[in-house]
Amino acid sequence: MECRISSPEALVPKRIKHVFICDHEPKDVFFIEELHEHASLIKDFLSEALNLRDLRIVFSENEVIGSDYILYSYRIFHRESYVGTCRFVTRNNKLIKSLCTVSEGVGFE
Amino acid sequence: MSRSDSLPPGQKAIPNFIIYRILGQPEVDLNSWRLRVGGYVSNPLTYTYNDLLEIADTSYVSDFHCVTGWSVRNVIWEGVSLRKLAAEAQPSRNVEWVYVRSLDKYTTVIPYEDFLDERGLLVLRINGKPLSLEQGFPARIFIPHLYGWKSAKWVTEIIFTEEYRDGYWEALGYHQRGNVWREERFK
Repeated sequence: MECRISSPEALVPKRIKHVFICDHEPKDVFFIEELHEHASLIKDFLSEALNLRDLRIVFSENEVIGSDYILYSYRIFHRESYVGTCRFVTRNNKLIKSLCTVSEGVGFE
Repeated sequence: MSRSDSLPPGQKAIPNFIIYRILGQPEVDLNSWRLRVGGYVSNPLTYTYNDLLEIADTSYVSDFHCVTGWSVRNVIWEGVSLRKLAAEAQPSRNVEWVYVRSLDKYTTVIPYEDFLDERGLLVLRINGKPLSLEQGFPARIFIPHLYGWKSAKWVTEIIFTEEYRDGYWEALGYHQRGNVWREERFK
């Protein structure tokens, strides 16, 4: 898994400070439990990158994009506060990309 | 089947637009609203709404395609061709991208060659009426072969630039161009 971090100016109006984009070797996802496992790995990655303990990642919803893509959204909490969102992109049930946004004022600044 | 008859891959026709306002509904004061066209140009310009109505030159029927998978067929679009705006501003020969800013601080980026498509339009009227606030009044972009997130509503600035810069959805992983026929949904 290869991840990049950025702070795009275009997301400032949404009070998003950090964007993490991770590209993967396509991985089959037929059961949502498989994504939960992936989400847990991403949570650990974010925890380390942001230098924050006590992160939680919770499945929120999924939505179709076109006919091949499905976005699975997870919400990230630090203790009880909502601090960001992860979206896992699948194409024909293969996980191809993970994208997490973290609000300003969270973690390292 | 020709492109005008068929839908792009992964799209489904629905009866009407779904309205998205990811950064909320901005308030529009037509007295102070201006469209600024600038960046790497030799002739930066500022237009009022009435200026744009006077130079409106284009009308056609075309489908609208949202990246989420819905399309609205046979929409009547009227406005000012983007080619005309570019011709008046005279971008430098090194321009490769067009960055668009809106009143709500939404941004998007369009390849210059797509911006210059013969059907690229600054829309002032839709289906025979002025744009509604929800549809982007006073002016929005429309380029038929690009997904709808490139069709920024409530446009205030068109900036010609040499360097690529993510807009709102591009920063969230969506494609730099977003061609509907190539199904360029994500980077």
